Amino acid sequence: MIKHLFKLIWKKKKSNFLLMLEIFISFLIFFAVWSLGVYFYRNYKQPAGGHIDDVWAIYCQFDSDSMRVQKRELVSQKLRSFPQVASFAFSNNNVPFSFSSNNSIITYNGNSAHSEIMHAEPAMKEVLDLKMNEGRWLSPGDRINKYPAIVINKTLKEMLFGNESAIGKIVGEEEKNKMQIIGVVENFKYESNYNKVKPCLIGLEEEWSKVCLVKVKQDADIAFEAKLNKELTGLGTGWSMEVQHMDNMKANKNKLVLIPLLILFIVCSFLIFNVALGLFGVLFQTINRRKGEIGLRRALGATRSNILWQFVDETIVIAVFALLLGLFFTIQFPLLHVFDVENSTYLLAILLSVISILLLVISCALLPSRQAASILPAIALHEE
Amino acid sequence: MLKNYLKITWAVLKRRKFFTFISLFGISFTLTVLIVVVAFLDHLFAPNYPELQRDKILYVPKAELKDTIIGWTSNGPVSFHFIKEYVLKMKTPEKIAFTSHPNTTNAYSPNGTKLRLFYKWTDANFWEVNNFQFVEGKPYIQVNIDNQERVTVINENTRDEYFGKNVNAVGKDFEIENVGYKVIGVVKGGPITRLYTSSDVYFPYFLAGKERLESKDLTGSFVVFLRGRNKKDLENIQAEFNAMIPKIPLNDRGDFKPNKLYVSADPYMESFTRELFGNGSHSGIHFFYMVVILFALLFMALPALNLININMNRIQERASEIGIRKAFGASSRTLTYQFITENIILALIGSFLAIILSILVIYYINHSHLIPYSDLAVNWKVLAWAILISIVFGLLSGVYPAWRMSKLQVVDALNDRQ
Repeated sequence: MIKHLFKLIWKKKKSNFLLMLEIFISFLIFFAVWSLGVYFYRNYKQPAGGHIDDVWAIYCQFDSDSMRVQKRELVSQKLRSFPQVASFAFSNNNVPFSFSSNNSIITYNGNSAHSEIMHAEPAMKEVLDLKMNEGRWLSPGDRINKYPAIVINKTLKEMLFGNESAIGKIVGEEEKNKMQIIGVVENFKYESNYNKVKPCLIGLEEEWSKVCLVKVKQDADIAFEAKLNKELTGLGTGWSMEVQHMDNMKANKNKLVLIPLLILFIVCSFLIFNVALGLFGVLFQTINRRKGEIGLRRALGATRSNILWQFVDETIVIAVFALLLGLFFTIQFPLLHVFDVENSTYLLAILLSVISILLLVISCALLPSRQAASILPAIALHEE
Repeated sequence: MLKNYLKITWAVLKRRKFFTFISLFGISFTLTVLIVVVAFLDHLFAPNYPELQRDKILYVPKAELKDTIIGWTSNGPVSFHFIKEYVLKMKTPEKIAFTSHPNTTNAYSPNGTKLRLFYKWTDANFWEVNNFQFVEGKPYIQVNIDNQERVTVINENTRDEYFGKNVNAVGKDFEIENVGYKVIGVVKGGPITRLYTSSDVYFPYFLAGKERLESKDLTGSFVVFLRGRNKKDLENIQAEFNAMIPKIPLNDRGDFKPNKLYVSADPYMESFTRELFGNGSHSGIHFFYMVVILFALLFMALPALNLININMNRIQERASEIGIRKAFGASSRTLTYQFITENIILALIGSFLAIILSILVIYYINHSHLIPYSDLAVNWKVLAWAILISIVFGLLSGVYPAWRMSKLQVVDALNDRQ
């Protein structure tokens, strides 16, 4: 039966060619949408790590770069005097959920990883509520280490060391780039909720960074923020401070991922709806044209459901041809590792796309096929 | 002749309403998306408020210093030093203005709300090369700068949040970071997508601080506007600018010993594409056009395919018509033209629907505050594009079926056999 169907469709491949092409392109669209959907959903489901809802980032701009260490000490003292401030740490500009980034390639024993490089004061661990996996966190005493001491995140650890322990290892090739790992920190999201946690390492900052991460207590409100801003800028002339709330920063970064995705999904769903309507129309027309054939089959004893399934099956066979072509192209993505995405994401996306196409095709075929099945042989044959 | 085509098209459209609906849905949806994209590009690149003089202005958004031996580069907006020593000495521009890139800060209004603000430092000419609409007050002029007056121009939105809705602000104190500035004017805000002019607060440039104004680096924090008398003037300005660049001495900065300076004065669109796709001396504008056209064609491919599919299936329905016309002597070419015209008419009807739909979508975008102050609009330029696109779409989806239809043999067509 199936062989017969394939033969039927193959014989009419010229007239079915456009239909196949259309299903093929729809499959590719489904694949793109599902890949993105699965990819971002999986990232979203990963635990965020850390806790940033009550963290503020204060961007300090001093009047000039001279005497920066003293100016920062002034700010630190002031911050310590507020009862609403739980803890704080100065950090480089690339704090989590900011728009700046500082990265470089880190190597160990032939393995290499493109890693984000953060520098911060040791208090960053309390401020962001980070958890250690092994080893220990940075302490002020680490400044006198021969090589700069760093803490790496789990992703970077797995990329460079696999299952081995990372503690005490020295990364970097040239003497001046070498760094020593003293701890591994549990992954925390720092780009957005929808981004995979990329490799990241944290070292001690060298007293020239100008962003201060502040963990505030519950009673810190807008009035306190205004007071904080006023008193900090009042410490020097021509100073400027900008307070940003990290939960807002995170929401912004999330929006930056979500909005384009949403637009893409809306546009693609319209495209697919468009295709569905077209498919529906074409199938109606085709079945109309084959009334004679249906009448004959009915007269020779085929039941209604026989007719119904014949047309549904035929459509599925056309879809299968298109899917085979589509699979040939999409399977290259996991095979060639296009983009940095797990194979399972691609495979799941392919599976979901196949299901989507079959559902789409079947639902478009059912109504015309039912109409075909209800044709009375006498009338159909009479027309011929 | 055309009248005949119109009549036939109308009859065909009425005959099978479901197919007409599918075709129109596909066309109007596709065109709606493309019109919105065109409106967005128009919003980005056409001279719009407050940058109405874009056509006769060259922009210098950034400079790149390169050490071609080691391969190190350093880039950023140009410095005040660069403007003062070189740009302001240029002869051909009719007017030279500059502004800093936007910075952010917080302000806390007297009634206890927090404002997150963008601010810029500009010179006095900035207000002349851009056509800001003043809700109240006036811009600062050279005299204010010479007298070192602490004045500021703010936008309407900032005024409403800081002083209260529609409260007059001119003459009042506006406090940022413990420093009070006297509000001298309030302007209607422009969308953030116009990076060179959009801001919440504008300060005269002398307030930018010693470090920015006295540094001898070539890169700093400013964007330059060079206005010519007309469009043709721009070539002369560009020539003078390009001739000036090689004469600028390059200073070492520690380990960094640059030996080449890349900086260009570009019309608005090139200044934008250079940032995204340009390298060295290529502005990347052709690449940009190619990407846009390719996107549009790819996007139209699926709906067009859909339409081709439907059209192909209607050959049968119209076989007798084709047969009869052929039997009475119509050539293949006449028939092809007829079908293509029909398709284009269909596409034009679709584009009419699309224009209505896209006005709705654009209304929604403008009111959703996705882009503050966004002023996307369907203007005559967008309309012209829409009609052009719909004709391309009509051709794309009409040529193949028309060709197939016209190739029908008379006997087969009349016999209802394919």
